Amino acid sequence: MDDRPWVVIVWNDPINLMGYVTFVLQKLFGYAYEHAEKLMLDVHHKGRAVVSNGTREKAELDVFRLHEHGLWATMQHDA
Amino acid sequence: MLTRIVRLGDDRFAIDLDDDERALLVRLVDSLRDMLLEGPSDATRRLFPPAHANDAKLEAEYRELVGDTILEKRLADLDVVEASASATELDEAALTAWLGAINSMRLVLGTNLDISEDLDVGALTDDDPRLPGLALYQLLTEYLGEIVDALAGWDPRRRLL
Repeated sequence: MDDRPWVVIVWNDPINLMGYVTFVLQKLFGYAYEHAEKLMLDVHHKGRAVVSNGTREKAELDVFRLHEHGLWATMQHDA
Repeated sequence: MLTRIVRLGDDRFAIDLDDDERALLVRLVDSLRDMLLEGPSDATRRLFPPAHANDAKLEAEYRELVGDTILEKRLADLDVVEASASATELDEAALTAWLGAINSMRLVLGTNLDISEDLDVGALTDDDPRLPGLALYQLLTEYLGEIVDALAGWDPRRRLL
């Protein structure tokens, strides 16, 4: 059984509104506005940002919830 | 610009759209619902992105786990918008469904229009076939921004909490 931790990455896309991405990150992860905004800006300027991490089950749930909200997210092993 | 969607209180939001806008939303609901019920397509692929970028086996397991849950959620959001299209007031649950539905419409429309970061709308000629779609895209953008502001309770320009 692979116990290595997983990270959840949100990828930039030209369609999602910056304010919407910030709102979703706050809503799903309980982040303070400033932290959610920083993650959103990382997505926007760097192309991607790690928004959460944990077990495979937690990562799958986080990816699922992000997809439900229309964000483009993937999961992978923490490098 | 008049604000169409504002928070009135704890679980109450005013919806100030005219009849044409409401009729347009209902048409968009019907259109997106039809597309979703037809099955996977290029137009709606952005609504069902992969969870595993580089592992087909893990991706298949994820799809098996998730099943139609996301599709059902999207259809449920559309049902709420259709049922409340004439409402002048919504609660938070309904407005959140409007947010999901309008964001989905915008994702599909944006995919069809091939929206990119460097699209220069001002450089398009008057007969560019993308203009009507872009006008609709801009309208959905405005709605989305107002709903986010109303739900979040803050104005990102002023950073009030």
